[in-house]
Amino acid sequence: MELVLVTKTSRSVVVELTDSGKYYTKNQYDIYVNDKKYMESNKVITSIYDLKPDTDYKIMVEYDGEQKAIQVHTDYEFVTLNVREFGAYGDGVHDDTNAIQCAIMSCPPHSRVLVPAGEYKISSIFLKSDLTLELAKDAVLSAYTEREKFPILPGVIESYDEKEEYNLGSWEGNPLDTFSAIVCGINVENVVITGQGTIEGNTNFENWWKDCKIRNIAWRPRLFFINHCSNVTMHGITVQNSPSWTIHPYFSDHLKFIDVTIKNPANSHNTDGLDPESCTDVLVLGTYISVGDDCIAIKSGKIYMAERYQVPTSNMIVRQCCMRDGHGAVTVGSEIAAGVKDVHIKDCLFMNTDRGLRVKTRRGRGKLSVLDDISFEDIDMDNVMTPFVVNSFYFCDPDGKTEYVSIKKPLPVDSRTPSIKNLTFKNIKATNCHVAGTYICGLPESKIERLTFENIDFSYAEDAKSGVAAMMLGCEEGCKQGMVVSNIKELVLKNVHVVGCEGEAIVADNVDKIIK
Amino acid sequence: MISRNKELEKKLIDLLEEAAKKASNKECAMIVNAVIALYKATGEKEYADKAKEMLDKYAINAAELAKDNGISKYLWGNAFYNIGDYNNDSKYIDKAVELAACFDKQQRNKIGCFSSNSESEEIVLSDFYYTQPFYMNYDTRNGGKEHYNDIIAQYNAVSSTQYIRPYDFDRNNSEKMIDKLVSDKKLYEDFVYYAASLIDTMELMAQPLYEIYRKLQEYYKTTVKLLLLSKAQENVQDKAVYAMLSYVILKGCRMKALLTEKYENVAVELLEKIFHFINTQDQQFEAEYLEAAAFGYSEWIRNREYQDYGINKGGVLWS
Repeated sequence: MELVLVTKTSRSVVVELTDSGKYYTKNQYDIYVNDKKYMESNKVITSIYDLKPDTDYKIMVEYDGEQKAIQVHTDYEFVTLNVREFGAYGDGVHDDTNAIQCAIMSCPPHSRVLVPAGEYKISSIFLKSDLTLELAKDAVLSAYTEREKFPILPGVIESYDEKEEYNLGSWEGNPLDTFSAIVCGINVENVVITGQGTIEGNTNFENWWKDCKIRNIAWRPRLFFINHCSNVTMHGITVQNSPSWTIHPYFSDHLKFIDVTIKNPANSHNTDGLDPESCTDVLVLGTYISVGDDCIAIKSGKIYMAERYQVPTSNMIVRQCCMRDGHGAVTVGSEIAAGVKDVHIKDCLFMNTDRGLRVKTRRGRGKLSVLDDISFEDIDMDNVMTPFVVNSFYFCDPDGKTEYVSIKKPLPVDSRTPSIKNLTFKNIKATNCHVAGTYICGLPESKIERLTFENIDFSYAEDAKSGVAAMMLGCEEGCKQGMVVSNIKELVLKNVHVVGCEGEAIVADNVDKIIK
Repeated sequence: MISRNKELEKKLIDLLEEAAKKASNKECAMIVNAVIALYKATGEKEYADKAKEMLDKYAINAAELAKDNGISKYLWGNAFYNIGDYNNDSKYIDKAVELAACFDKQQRNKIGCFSSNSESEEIVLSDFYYTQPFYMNYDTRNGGKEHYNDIIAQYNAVSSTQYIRPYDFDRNNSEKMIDKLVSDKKLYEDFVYYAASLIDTMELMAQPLYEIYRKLQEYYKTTVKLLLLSKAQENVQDKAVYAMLSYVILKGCRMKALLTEKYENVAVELLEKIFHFINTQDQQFEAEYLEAAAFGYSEWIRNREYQDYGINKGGVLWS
């Protein structure tokens, strides 16, 4: 058992207790602050709140009779700006947008804006640089749902000399007019959003999720959107019922999402949990995600943005997270035209998702769409319909069902052809699978270069449900299929056990080399 | 500065209705589309009823249109769609779809663009105005977006082909092009209608296919810039093309394809002259002139939506 400090602010610390558990520790344990019992925890990543600034603390855990302690000195803090003092009511009736925005804009360095317990009605608030925004326990930033109350982020504003452009809004990989997020940051740095409170999107099928595929004035807002931001940390808070993608970092870097809870109904539309798009240096740690679409979807835009800016998502780590009830637990795609590289998912728990590890791409993403050095390691999955899916014929786009996207015979490789290089799956246990253990489909004209499965165990649910493994034309409904793989140059299968499938354990088509 | 003028609208519609009585089938289609544009800009149901009445009277049925090897018949396509939408009547939508089926068999020139002459190596730019906006509308609504690549390929052919004599679209040699536009009124007219085809096609596509949208925008802007640099509009004040240019520019401003601040004034000046002309000249106007004036006026009215993002008109900026 090890205890390490993950991060700290002036008012909180986050610790990690490692006992080989994934998201949850194998046993419950006690946490003491300065030798006084603070809480019990059963999570690997745990936050401790209500500390004083610029103060020494001893954080000790007692786990199965064993004790471990660390010393922490909380950060210096200058002042606290309580939004109530700026005129916020927090009564769930008054519009508190302006009062909270006033507090944010007034916040000096090394200070925090505190939102105490209460329900604060807001439309859209904007972050500024050098800010700590703390949502206290039982504080709720409760969003309006009338679209007329929301500002619009124009997709593109052309420069006066007509040579450049300024991109603000983004919708599914393109620079399109979008309503501003409930909490929004543009060109800011050094921001922490922390606390035990909630950002509540209040979305339902009568407002933002109604006719959600149709642009109405502008495209739907995110719950949290940061554009060209740096050094942003979200910690502890709960975000829920988002109008569309919940957390959308865009062309931003040095980002941390720690001990965050993301919740949207399982039947909500396009409510991905966390979608970093063209971002670098991203850490997602100890986060719980239960949503209506992909829990984490790693992106880098569609072809226009990719060709113009050429910023892939890279250097991303997801650790000790729990994901459930989405279409995919961790997805790469489908808007990945600038590529994704150096992404590693480790020590996670996936439950009840349609797919576990999901790559979705298609012809038309372009030659810059290169996926490389992506690994999934030490992951437990339970009740996942299909644990591994790589789909190179993804059809959920305005032109996704055209012949160009869906045809299975090889087309000429050109500037629109994407590629997948090296994917690794290692130390993964998937129990109660339903549709298939693995469904991998590369492009015939651009085969997946190397796919490695090592130490993998699949077993199937007794009452396995049938379903469609991948969202592509020609993928038939199935049940208890083994590993269905096609269009791969080199497939490595080391210590892979498929127990209880119906039919062949491995169905390979157009695979150049299988190494066992 | 022009403001909404119901008397002017009424006069325009009366003149258009009168012109339709002796207009060709192609001109009738343009006239119906012009009246529809006035309805869309003003929301006056009376205008939509008038457009429907004229459509019912002048549009040959789709089966008859299909027998015509020409391409101007496609001008009826968007009229069918618009009247079908207004009346919530699938009969008109079916007619549009039936007409769109002709695209499969439509002759193309040697460069692959729709044409009434399959032997031709030339691209007639104004032909795009007859075909592409409806082709795009059909493909977006009923065609599964299967032909977006074909549409952009036809436009790409214009910008890249060596066969586009004398319409050489050489951006690095724009002075040569500008000289041609100044000296060749037919070429100038073709450019204006080509620009209209681009902005109309952009309006009718699914914008999330953004790379195609931006490519069309690039071609549109290039065309408009060449037109304005030529200053040739100063020589065609009494021509339909002059009014059409105002439409092309104002629509581009509304759709944010052009910087309003830089381009709008040119179009407004054109329109002011046109309406001064219509209001003061007691003469028989050509149908083409009236259609273009109605298009331009409609865009001027709609262009005000730019200021409020269409919020006061039910919520759509454009589409």
